[in-house]
Amino acid sequence: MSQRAISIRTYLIIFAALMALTAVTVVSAHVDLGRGNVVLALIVAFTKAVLVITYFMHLRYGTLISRGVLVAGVLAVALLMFLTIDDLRTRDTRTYLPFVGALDGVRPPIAPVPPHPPLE
Amino acid sequence: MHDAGAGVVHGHAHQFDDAEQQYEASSLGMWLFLAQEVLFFGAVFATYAYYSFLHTDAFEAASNHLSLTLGTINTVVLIASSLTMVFAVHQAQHGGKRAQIGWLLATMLLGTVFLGIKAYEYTHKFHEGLVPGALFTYSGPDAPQHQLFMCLYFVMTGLHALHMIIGIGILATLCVLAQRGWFRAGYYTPVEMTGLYWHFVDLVWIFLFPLLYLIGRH
Repeated sequence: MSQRAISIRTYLIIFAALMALTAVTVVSAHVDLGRGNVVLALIVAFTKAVLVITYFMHLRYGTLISRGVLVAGVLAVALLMFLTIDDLRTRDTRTYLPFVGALDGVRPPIAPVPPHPPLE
Repeated sequence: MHDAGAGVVHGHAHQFDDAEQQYEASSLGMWLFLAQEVLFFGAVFATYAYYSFLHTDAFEAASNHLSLTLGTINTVVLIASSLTMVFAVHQAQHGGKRAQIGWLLATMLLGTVFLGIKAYEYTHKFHEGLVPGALFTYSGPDAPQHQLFMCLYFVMTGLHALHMIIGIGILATLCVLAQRGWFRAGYYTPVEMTGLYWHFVDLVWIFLFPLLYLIGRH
């Protein structure tokens, strides 16, 4: 096999790092950072994910095409997330969402459409 | 039967140039499978993102229905099971049969502990009237949004638990194959691929844990 073995020592260091990051995310969750709480929790989760993928899943020594496949999957999900949330953020309550109240406080209300002037 | 197996175990299948190419083909196939798993769970996470964006405050409050202690213990248990899994792969790489089976059993044990704690949490949700549907009895503020959060909780952790149950079954199969001497230092592809699957299940939990258990603690 072409892949080089990673030493037990490295695995233990990565495990310790994952435990430390878990402690960071649990402790920081109790501090009120507003929207920053979710952002920080996701940054920690992505860091843990990169450690697991790189060392435990050996992608550090993986082939280029294996990495490309993973990146393609992650990008597709990122696109799904981005378009879903972007759609939600920019919806016009005049055209969508009869349950307008659901977006109260998320963004300012939009004035109702004025009646169309009569045609000649 | 034995001859067909022996051909694979002691060399490489005839359509491959060598054992290394065969290994890389298996690895690529596994990463393709995992990429579609990313899409599978990605859709569920996108649903979560959609509703948590609509009902941010209610979701943060509903998050406190879950036990942070049990969630944290399960996070530690699952990451520890990933460590025992890499040890099993490491032993397989170096031809240590007994140690390999030992680490596989340890991984199965930790996976079972995780599922046991999960079952205990689920039971509590039934008793507390937090299971969506006819059994949902929570009537505090934003009750419909709380029910939506619990619905996502059960779907996400349920799909994750299903993956773990399948993983434990595969690990049990590996133990039997290892005992029968299928793997050696030059051929341990099934162990490595199962490791990839097991770590992927760990990855899903690494994202589930903060999104479900931690968002409402401040």
